[in-house]
Amino acid sequence: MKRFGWLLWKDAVTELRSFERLSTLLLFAVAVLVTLHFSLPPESTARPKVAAGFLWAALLFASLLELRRSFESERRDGTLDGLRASPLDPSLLYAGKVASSVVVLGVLAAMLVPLTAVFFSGRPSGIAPAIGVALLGILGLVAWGTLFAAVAAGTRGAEIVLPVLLFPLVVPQTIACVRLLAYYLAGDKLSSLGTGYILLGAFDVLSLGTSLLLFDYVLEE
Amino acid sequence: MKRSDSLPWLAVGGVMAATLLAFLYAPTEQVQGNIQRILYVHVPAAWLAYLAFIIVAVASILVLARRHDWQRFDRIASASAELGVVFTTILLALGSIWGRRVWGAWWVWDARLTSTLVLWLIYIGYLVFRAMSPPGERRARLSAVIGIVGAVDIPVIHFAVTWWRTLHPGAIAPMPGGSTIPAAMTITLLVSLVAFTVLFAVLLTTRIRLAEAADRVESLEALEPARV
Amino acid sequence: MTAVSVRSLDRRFGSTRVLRELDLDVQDGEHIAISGANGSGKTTLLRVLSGLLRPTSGDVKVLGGAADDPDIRARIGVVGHTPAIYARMTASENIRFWTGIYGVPPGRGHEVLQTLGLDPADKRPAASYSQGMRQRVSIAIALSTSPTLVIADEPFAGLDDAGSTAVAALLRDVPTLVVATHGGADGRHLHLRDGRLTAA
Repeated sequence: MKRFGWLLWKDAVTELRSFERLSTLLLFAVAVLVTLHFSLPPESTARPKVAAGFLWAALLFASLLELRRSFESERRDGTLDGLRASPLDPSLLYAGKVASSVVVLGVLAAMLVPLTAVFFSGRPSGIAPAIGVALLGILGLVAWGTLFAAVAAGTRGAEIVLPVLLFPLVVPQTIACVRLLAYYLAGDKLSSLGTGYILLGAFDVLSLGTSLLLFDYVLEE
Repeated sequence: MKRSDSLPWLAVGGVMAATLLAFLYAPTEQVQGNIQRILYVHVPAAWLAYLAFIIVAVASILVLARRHDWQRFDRIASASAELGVVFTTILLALGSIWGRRVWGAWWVWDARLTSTLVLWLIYIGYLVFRAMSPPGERRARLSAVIGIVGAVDIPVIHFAVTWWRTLHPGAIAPMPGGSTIPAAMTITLLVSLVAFTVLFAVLLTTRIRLAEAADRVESLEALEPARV
Repeated sequence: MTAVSVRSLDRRFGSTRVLRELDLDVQDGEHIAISGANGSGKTTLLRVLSGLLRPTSGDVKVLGGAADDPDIRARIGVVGHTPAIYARMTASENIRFWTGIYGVPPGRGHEVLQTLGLDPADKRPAASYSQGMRQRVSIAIALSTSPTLVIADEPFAGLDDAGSTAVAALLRDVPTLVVATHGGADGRHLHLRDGRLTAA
């Protein structure tokens, strides 16, 4: 457990030391939202309805950038060997990476949800639960995202391989998140709220579980 | 003549027989007309696509579980993935053509088609990954991870897409079909299923042998420099 | 007791056989120096011993067990071919991180830093260090856990005379040592050629 703490501390010091990192991600996400806004016809009344989809799209793209950075310091400084030769359980290394990414993207989501509500006339009462939904969604996304970031790391064109692998796999998360976000932000009717949450939760458990089992194999040489 | 020599002939014969049956023996469906005959290829393609991906999943697990034999299972997994993508492409294309005739649209986002499309994307991703990584044990191991995650995710995708679809009642694409299906149609379909399965088996074993041969050539080539 | 026992080790990369049926025995308390041409497989051998690479075939026992056993790893200090240092952290932060991972107090690590002429209180990130300074931090990290076995890949690379002398002195005090080096180490000398070890 203490080792987990050391991993988080190390990530905080080497990577998250830059508050600029988070603000750049936020700027990127806002740019995505603005661009998507222009995909709608000017007099469109659809704005609240698409808010959820646009928000999730922005989070997806931002998470790609964040996931690429996941093993960046290990790659750049050549410390992965050191970690692998140490008594550290690879699952802890994985958990540490997931935790760091979830923290960064979670803070991003907390800022992006209210912003989306403002941009697309979402319901203010829905903001708090929407942030919760976004966090649950991000967890599942980062679980497989971290695994595949490590998988894609050695390949040619790794920055393309990661989204090509990840996006289809997280379709269930996309569906569940957007439906729930639309319920909270746009007041969309949702007959089976419970099913949405079950889907979200099941996906999180599945992605974390399989990744913990498979990460050792990815880390090997 | 070796048994393996007769199998390709059986496959060719089987597919020809199925084609003849499909066009000459099976009756014309009342509601859809002749376009319904596409189902005699569409259904086998669906079955084989799923069979292929089950093979990918099992072979992937074996790549990780039987480390010493990784090459053999890696060849099986990648050959099966290739065939899976081929049959899924056929499935989607035929489904699209059929849909255009019957529903008037080249594409509808119904649960089955959508799930199939996502499945197709996952296994294309598997092949793209393999194309972009240097061949060897690492690629085999990582492909196996992708194969396993893909297989595990499929049921969740089905569930999610179906749920998404049910949230908009009435948008479920109608599937015309009679109350009782004539025996001739069933027979044709069965013949077709068997014929295409044999074809799949032939293609798979041939593809695996091709991969084995390529690996052997490579290891022989690697020995060459020492002789100079 | 045998600290390192290797039988018939084969390690291939694709179709290249880097180590062939390699045998090696290192007793407790022995110091071994392995020399060999560039590309002869010294680094590969050391990586197998540290548990970073799996053997293609053959048997490798380190400190009586498998090289990927966490309890055994806790007693091994590794000096890699490239220093395993986080550039954005200071030397002291690096020591504290690695000793935290190995579950030991950082005191010894800071001592070694000082013995090697570095200041633990230095607030500069390791990125601003010269190659020689980084090498010394790397060695301090490896020795900070008071390891029973040290596996070192070219530990003298990038060091000046004073640094080399200081490092050699520290390595002399290590219980069991396996070093890959181009020269200048004590102990039994072995030569790696054609994937096999012979007495030099």
